[in-house]
Formats: sequence, structure tokens, C-alpha cells
Amino acid sequence: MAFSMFLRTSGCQSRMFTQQAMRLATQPAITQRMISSSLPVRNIMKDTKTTPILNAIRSFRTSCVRRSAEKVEDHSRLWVIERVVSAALVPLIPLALMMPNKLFDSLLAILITAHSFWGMEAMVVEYIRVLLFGHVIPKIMMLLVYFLTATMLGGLFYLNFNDIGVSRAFWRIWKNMKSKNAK
Amino acid sequence: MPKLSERFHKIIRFSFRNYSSKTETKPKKDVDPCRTFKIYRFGGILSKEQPKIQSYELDVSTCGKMVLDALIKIKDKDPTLTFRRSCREGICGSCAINLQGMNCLSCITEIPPAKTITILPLPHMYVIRDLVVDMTHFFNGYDSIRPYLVRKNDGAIGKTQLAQSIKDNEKMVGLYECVLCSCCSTSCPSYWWNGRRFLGPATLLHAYRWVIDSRDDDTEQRLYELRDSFKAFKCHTIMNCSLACPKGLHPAKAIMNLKRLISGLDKKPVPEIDPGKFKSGGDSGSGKNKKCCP
Repeated sequence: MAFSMFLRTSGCQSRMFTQQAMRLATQPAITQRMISSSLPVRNIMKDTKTTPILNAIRSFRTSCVRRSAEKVEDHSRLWVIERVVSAALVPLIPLALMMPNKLFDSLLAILITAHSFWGMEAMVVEYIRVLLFGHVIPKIMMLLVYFLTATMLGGLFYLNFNDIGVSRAFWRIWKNMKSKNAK
Repeated sequence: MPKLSERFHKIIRFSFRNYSSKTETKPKKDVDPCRTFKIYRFGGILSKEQPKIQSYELDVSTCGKMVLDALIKIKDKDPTLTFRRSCREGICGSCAINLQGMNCLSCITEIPPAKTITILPLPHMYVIRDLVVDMTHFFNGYDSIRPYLVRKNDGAIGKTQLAQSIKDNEKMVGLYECVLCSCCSTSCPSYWWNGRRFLGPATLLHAYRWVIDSRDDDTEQRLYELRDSFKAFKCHTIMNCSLACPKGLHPAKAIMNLKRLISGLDKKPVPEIDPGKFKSGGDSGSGKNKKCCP
């Protein structure tokens, strides 16, 4: 996330930077020189074979673009894992509740924490936007999400290994609520 | 507040009556043709005035059936009303507006049978004036997915026809008809909140259109460019896009298929016919053309 913030600084966002990056990364069909390029003015004036391109006119390329200027993580694998976890929770929760044991409880703790983390992270990224809240608050909210996730995992594992376990705890609360209603 | 069971029965009755395909229709209440049009007015950011909703009285029996007809009739009375329009048949995508809270094309949407008709510009777009919004960022996103055919090692594009089987062509039905009206993208909450980096359903529909085109060779690079967490994966399957599309397209389904391709769960099938089938061996241009008449 820090790197993506760096990429958003004015230096990396400027037209000059992207133009230079595009020039380096592509194989243009016709070599073009830009008046605003870093070469000294004398060289450009001498070169009469190519037409100088004003900064106002964008160059485009018809060949494949390989942009290695920006490092972008592959999110597709994480996306698949998120769906797999969601799908795995659908049979696991009733199964674990029906057959309380340590293995299912641990698996449930890990998967529920992961699912909740990704959900909370998506909420913070989606709604706590820099435009509305500035630069500090989204970071604080993200730290809160990490804190809640760690607490959740720690708490659930405490429940599993120092107490009766997630599934049995659920049934205890269920029975307690039922008996409270009966009274 | 009606009881829960009453509301439940009301919903069931509504769905059965309105979505059943019975030939006899329920008695429609005739709405008085004198309608009130509540239209968003804004002089632009240089005018320093607050946007407001202005009401216009119009007899809809004096103008055509479509909302655009009503807007033009209102413009006759108030020439300062500004809106985009071009083809008047739903093919250019210029006249996209927000009508009664739903995005649509004003030229192909009938004036709804309501007493008050609210017309607003497309949601969460910068307003240039009245109903005209700034589409620059939307089109920049569309340009960024390289919406043109990319062939490898083809020398001169356009010399010979590229072959495509009928089944491969049918894969693009429901994708090529998109007119870039941006009704879908501007109805997507994800595009509202993260439109800077999320491409939106219209652009992603077009990205998918170029990915599954059997004549396109740059699939790997196209999918590689969409792999980050914002461009395509900020779609949370809200499905507002497919609901809003005035051409009846299904951007949500296209995005679903696109995500499967990006993540590698699906692979683009090999074209049924080799697209370079009609390329002659040593093409030197006009000299090798087959003579069709002796």
C-alpha cells in the first residue's frame, strides 16, 4: 500500500513521467521526437527527418505495449482464494456445529477470520476514501482492521484450546438464550 | 406499517400480476396528460450559482412518446435547458439521463405514466451544465483497454479478410452492441466510490469483447493488464449495470467471464477457423488477386 501511495505522488503522476515511461517501454513504428524531451534544443532543431511532436498532441502506438514502469501485484490469485474460502465455509459451518471437534474448530477459526479480514479490508478500501477522509484516517482504519483480525483469531484460538471450542460455545450460548426465553 | 405477512402477500401479488405473461392486462389508471417535469438545472462551475430543480408543466399529448420528445418540447419554451442528443434512436448513446432514479436513454424511453417526472443528470459525474456531464474520465478508461484488434506477425492489416466461424462470431453478440452511453457505469456504486481506478462495467464489457474475439492475438497481454485489485476486481457483482443497460446487454455476465479468464479459471478457446486462413502465401499485393472474371 505504501508503494501505491508513492506511485500516486505528483512525480509519478506527471505527464512527463508517463510519457518518458511510454517512450522507453514501447517500440513505436516511426521514431518520434518530442520538443519537450530531455534532449538539448540544438539536437532537435538539427534533426529535420522526423516531425517534432508538440506536447499537445499525444503519441499513440499500434504495437503491443509492455508497461514495466508500474509494478502491479497480481490480485487474481487472492480473488480466487477469497471465493474458495467463502465456498468452503458454506458446508463447514453446519458440519462443525453438528460434530464439534478441535480440527473443525481450528479450521473454522482460521477461515472465519480470513473471510472477515477480507470483508473488513474491502469495506475500508471501498468507503474510507482519501478524497473524503484525507490521508491519515484510512490508514488508521486499516490498522484497526488488522487489530480486529488479530484479536478475532487470538480470541477464537483461545476459545478452542483454553476453553470448550467454537462449536460447543455456540451451542452453550444457544441453550442459554433458549432457556432465558422460556423463563 | 402493514404487517409482515400483508407486505409479503402484496409482493407476491405484485410479481404475479406484473411479471406474468397473461394476455389480459389489469385495468390501468389513466394519468392526466398534463405532467410536471422536474429537471435538474445547473449553470456550470463558472456561474457560481447553486444547482436547483426546476419544474415545467407539459401536456404530453402534444409531443412524441419518448422522454427526449418531452425535453425538446420543454426546450422550445425554455431555450436555456441543455442536454445531449443525436441519433434519437438509441444507437449513439448521447442522451443518457437519470429518469425517476434509473439511468436510461431519453430517446428510447417512453414518458412514464406518472404525474411528476424527475430528470437528473447521470449520477456521480461532474456536471458541465444542466443534464450534460463530463465523460472524459469514462472515455479515458475505455481507451486504456486498447479497444482495437491486435494481431501478431500480420504485416499489413487490412489486406485480407480475417476468418471467423459463426459460433465464434456469436460469442460477441451482446458485447458489440454497447454504445458507451455509460448508463451502466454510472449506476454502479463501486464506480461511484472508486471510479478513478475501477474501470466500470461498460469498459470491462468492451475489454471482454476484445479478449474473446477469436481474431485478436493479444489476449495474454490484455488479461495481464487487468490483473490488479482495482481495474476489474472492484466489481462486487452488485448487478446494477445489467438492470440499467438501455440496450438490454448484460455487463455483469461479461465481467464474470472476464474475471474467470483473468484469474486463469477459464482459458480462451482456440478459434474454430484460423483467422489468417485467407492470407495468400507470398502476398505481394494486387498481383496475386484471384481473377473472378476471365
